[in-house]
Amino acid sequence: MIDIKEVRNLYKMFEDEDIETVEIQNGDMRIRFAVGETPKKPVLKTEVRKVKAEEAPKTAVVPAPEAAVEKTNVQELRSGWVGFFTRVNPAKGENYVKLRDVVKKGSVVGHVRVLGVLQDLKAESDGKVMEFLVEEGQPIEYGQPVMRFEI
Amino acid sequence: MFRKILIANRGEIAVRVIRAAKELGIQTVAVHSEADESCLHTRIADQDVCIGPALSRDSYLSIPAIISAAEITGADAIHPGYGFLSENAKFSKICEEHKITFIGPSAEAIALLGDKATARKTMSEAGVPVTPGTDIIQDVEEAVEFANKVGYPVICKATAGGGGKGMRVAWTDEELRTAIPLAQGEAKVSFSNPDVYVEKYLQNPRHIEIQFMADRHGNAIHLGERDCSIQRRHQKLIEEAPSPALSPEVRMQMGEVAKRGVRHVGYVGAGTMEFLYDEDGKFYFMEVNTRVQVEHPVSEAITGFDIVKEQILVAMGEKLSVSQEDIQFNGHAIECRINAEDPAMNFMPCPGRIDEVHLPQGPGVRIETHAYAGYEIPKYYDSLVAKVICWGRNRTEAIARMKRTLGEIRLGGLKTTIPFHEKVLDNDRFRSGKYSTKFLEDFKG
Repeated sequence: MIDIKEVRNLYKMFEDEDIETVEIQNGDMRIRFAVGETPKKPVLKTEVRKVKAEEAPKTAVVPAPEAAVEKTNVQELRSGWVGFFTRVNPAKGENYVKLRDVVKKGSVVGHVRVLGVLQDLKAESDGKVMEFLVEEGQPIEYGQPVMRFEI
Repeated sequence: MFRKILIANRGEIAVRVIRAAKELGIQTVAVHSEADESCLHTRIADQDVCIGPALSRDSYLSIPAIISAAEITGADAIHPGYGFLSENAKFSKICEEHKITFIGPSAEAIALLGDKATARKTMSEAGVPVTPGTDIIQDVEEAVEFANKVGYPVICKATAGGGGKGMRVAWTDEELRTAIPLAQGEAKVSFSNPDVYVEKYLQNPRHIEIQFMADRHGNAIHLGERDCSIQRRHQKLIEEAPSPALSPEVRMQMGEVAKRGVRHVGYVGAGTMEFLYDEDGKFYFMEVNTRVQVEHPVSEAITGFDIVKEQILVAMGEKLSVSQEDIQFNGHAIECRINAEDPAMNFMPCPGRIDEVHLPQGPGVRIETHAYAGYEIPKYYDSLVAKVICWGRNRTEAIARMKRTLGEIRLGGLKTTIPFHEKVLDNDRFRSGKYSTKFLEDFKG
């Protein structure tokens, strides 16, 4: 059995840090938080799987922290170049953005390194970072989706 | 030995190069525009990379995108095919700077020979007969002065060009003044280089070209000639080897001239020297194509030589696999370029979906194509859909075989130039072998 308080703490940790998925399992109960896996659904997704029917847990579902399930618009940012993807701001040595950051239209959210030269990836609208679709340093092609935003 | 070759091209030639690389055990990378997501070459290569939007200038002509694609895939060589960047000296140089082997001649050789105006000058210095012509036109009036000196008609040509693009014939001063800026514009769009020059226009010549190959060790061979006189607006439609017009003596002379020019500039790789062959049996150097050509299979058919594979081997530093004495010419070959165009509507390009494909087989039949059932031909690129190459023990058999093949081939859902080719093959003058580059002007299909 998983304590509700534990779950809430876990969720808080999940929201504060740049984590895409968190999963905890205790016996037959498994709880999973994931960002952006199913757009147009609540950001928090929980799943409780029962392995043995006779051991039905008392607490089945954690309520979503957001009051209502709202329809969200998802925008994909696609690469305009062939090269290597990077999230890092070279001037500061840290990522430009992390999950759930709010960005303004036109702000730099990453780069594509093309033959050693950094090309800017800019947010196309005001929005919130929903998902990174590629890894740091990953080779990418023209038109490849690199990030998803909730706008 | 190359580990991985990136093919900086599309369509049938990209397929051709990928096949040759596979036979040599080399990995392949296909690059494509967004419009070519489903082009055959992307499906048969080991990797494929989207390099840009549909327009060629932002994709197949984008040097940074192509070099970047080589970088992210770890390709150590690039084969440029024909057209696009294949004769771009700057591209060859940039490949070299990025430690990528450009499968073709050096930037210096391309600059000396690939640039048509400079090639004429270089060949002239080597004692090769050239058609009278100018340097790159800086001022239209200098062209007009030249034209009045040698006499009209004259032809304006793109120095970086091919495939009939950036070419215009002029018969008067006014026509020439209009033709030059138009040719410059076309050249800029097609080859990223607007430079043009002007030549005396021979009115009834045959277009005869010599295929040659050279390695890094000073060896050079020629694979005989191809007669490419059947042209519409300077775009070749039918090619054959050997030429019905050439005697063995002239063949040997042209071959020697080609090798001489090749050695003079330290050329490495495959190339073609084009000549205009006049009615009185004189030949004039026209230009050198510093790349593999569309019609290369015609020479392969009569010699048994694999030009594309040899290009790769030579680029890797290997010696030529044969000597001139080893080259035997056997039989006769003809190629028909099948374009997705409507001959009844002035050869208007007709891109569209191919819903059925049947490619004939049988002895002496070779078809090079990127067509497949369900393929949608994009409207952004040239209209070549298939090359049909037929070989026979003699010209009569080659023609009969081509007729049989064209009667059987199916590219369902498309308007093509096949009916037009069939009419040419039935034409008495074509069958006689006594035709020139004027043939199609007079031909009423």
